[in-house]
Amino acid sequence: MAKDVLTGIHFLSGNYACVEGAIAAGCRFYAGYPITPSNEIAERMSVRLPQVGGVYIQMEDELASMAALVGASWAGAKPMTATSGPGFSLMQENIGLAAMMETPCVVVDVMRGSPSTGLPTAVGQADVMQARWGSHGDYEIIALSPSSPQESFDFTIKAFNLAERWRVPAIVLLDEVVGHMWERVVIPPKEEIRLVFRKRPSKPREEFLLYKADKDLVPEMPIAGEGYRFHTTGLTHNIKGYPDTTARAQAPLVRRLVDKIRKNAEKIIDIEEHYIEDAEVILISYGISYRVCQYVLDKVRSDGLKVGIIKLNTIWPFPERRIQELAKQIRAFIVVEINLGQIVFEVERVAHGQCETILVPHAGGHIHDPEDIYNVIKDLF
Amino acid sequence: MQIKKEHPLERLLRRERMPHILCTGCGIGTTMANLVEALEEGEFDLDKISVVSGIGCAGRVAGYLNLDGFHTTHGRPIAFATGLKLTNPDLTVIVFSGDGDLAAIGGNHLIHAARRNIDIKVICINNFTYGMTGGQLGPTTPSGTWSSTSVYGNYEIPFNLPYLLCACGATYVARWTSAHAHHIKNSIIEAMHHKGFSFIEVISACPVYWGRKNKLRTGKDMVKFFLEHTEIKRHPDPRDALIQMGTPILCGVFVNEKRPDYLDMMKAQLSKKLGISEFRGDGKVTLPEEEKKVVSEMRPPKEIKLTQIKLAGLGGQGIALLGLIMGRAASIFEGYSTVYTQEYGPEARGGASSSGLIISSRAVNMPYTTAPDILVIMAQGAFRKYRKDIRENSIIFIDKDLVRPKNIPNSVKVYAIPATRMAEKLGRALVANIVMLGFFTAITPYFSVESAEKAVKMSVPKGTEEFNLTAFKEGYEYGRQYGRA
Ligand code: SF4
Repeated sequence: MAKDVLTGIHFLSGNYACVEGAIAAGCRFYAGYPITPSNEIAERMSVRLPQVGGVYIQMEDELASMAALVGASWAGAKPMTATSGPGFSLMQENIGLAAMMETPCVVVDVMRGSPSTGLPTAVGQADVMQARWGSHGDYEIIALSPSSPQESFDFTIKAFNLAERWRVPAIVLLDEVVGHMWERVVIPPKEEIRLVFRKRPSKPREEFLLYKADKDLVPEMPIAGEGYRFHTTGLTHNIKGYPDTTARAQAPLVRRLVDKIRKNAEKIIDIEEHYIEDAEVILISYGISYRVCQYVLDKVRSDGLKVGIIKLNTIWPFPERRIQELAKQIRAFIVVEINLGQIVFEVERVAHGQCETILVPHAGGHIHDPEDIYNVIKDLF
Repeated sequence: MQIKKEHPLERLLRRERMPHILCTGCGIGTTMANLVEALEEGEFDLDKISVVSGIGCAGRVAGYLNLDGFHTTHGRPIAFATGLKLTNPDLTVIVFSGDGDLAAIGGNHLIHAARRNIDIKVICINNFTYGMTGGQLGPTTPSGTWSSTSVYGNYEIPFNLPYLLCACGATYVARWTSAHAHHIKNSIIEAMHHKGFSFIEVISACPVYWGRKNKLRTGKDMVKFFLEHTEIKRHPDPRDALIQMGTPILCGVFVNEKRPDYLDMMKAQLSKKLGISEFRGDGKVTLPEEEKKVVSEMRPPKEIKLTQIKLAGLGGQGIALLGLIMGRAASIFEGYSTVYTQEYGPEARGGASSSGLIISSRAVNMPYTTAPDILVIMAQGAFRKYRKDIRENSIIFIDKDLVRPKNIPNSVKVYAIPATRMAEKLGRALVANIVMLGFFTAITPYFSVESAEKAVKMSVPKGTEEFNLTAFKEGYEYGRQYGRA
């Protein structure tokens, strides 16, 4: 067995599991800058990547890290970086470039208390909106949120697959608690891990058009050095990849960047539902907060209250269709997140007054006290 | 007579993108032509060349060359190029951009790429200004001269780029003006053959902004000015390369030296240790097969109720490792749902160390130990801190020489062992945590001796396994006797 997929049973932190997921997914390039609470990812990457012939480079800042990722991807890498709030802010510049050039890459944001330097060593979940639209302009990305080290492993692989499939940056929204907690992680045999690589050019150079999309709105992607002699730019461009800074070129380009995710959302979205059938009230949560909700759910279900739960494995694109459907059947959604209201506004928008939408907020620094969630539920029955 | 239809340089330019946006008399266009000539003359494999630009007039060049071209974000072409090069070292990566892009907003990347000696070739157009945005002040605008944001004359000192780059460790540094076509071309060829960070500064004409406002209205005026105010030396000293009005612009090759580049340094450090000869980001490296050592089978867990365990002591007592080993024993070898957390943040400073463990045969949702059933305490300070968590019927494990439990309910069961003393007797106080682990294993039902021993073996430093297992046995025996007494 080569050292790439460490098939077997492990006991790992969420941050370590994320690294193993990346390596199992074929990541061989990591560029990053140290920041708490993501450091264990960089540290383990610096050990693991050389073992599999990959490149770990510690860049001078997060601007450089993210730019290096985009370059690496165009040279054929499945690249990754990891950071936390302040660094994530700096990365937004070239996350925008990656979105515009349609570059597959994975960015891990281990969320901590914020804004600004905030709480470097304590949990937060307030980067959810930044993950979606942190860079300027209209674009769509994909974001996943693991609730355990096992999911950190699984979702990191998934993030690579989605990034490659849809040619977007995929964001893994870990949080400080999941990043730092240790649990059992089962790594499957290499043959059982399904991997996706970007669509490759099907035409010779003379006929190839860099940004001519297929039906799924995703174009084929050549790699530097293969002889395609392509040109790509962060400017608004035509299907050849040449700058065309007109409103005429802007509309089809930006629309496609957005539509390739929005129109394919149902293929990307991954949510879990429990106890939905008879539910009058549904909890919606993600990341570490989902586990607190589950703890509360066990309690209220044994009290006989008809409460269900939705776990957002993918946060972006948002599961609009399903939430809309459920809004018609229930009395209320209760959104639990470690921020003062982010996903709750999405739920409220989609529920559109069909049912109540209630937020159980937390300013950050710790997970919710289960009592706080319990009391909100109790009030509804 | 045969009429040749193709321009000699057409192979390298994207004809469909012509006319270009560059102004008449601009030095960027001529430098681009010099680059094209260099690539023709040097007979390089054009399919393997990537050209990366940032933002600005010079940044447009990547779009005109018939190569793999990347027009990136402002200031980041060098960082982008670093990703390209380290992913596929077979590529030749050229960065073509301006002074504002490379030395102002991208200054940090410039100096660090030079320091790392990343094998990329940087052509830096220095026209003293931001042309694209209307002639504003830059980090290279000569003192006293006009820009649209220094209309009274610049009162800053500009960068001396050759000196900066030499100091940062670039291994090829040259400067020419856009009037020195031949020298630029030769320098580019030299840089293409050079392995390491190469930097060619081209003092370039921007007649439209910097020139016009500083009494050099046309491209011709500027070329004339450059030719008249240049001093070319064979071995110029970069310390003398500051550009000041009234003194000549010093040109030449400042440095051309051999030094291992980033990837060479990486290989030198890693190859022997890891048995791998190549490192690249695209995964095209064959890996050696190794023997499989990981655990692959898990037994179904026995039924137990959820138990919270708090471990606390001083930094250096191996509290974190103790928790990790317990976690591994319970999780990997006994099949329990197990969550292990360490305390982070301010609490983790000042010498205290604590971690939490939750073990259950059912799924564990809450990650933290909020109401510990068991406390393992190795220092008096830790006892004071966590006494509030000790309730009726709690179980506590203590190092009996280091902890005096006071004011606790009568129903609390105290298991005391002189763990540190026993460890010292074995020769190293450091293994007191492992002695405690043995003791804990003997008394509690969460993992078997075999599981604990396996977890110890996989967690302690190589070579110390036997010693740690001896410590474990000592503690375990003490626990067994304890049970009987
Ligand atoms: S503005 Fe100046 S630098 Fe830009 S193209 Fe015109 S002359 Fe060249």
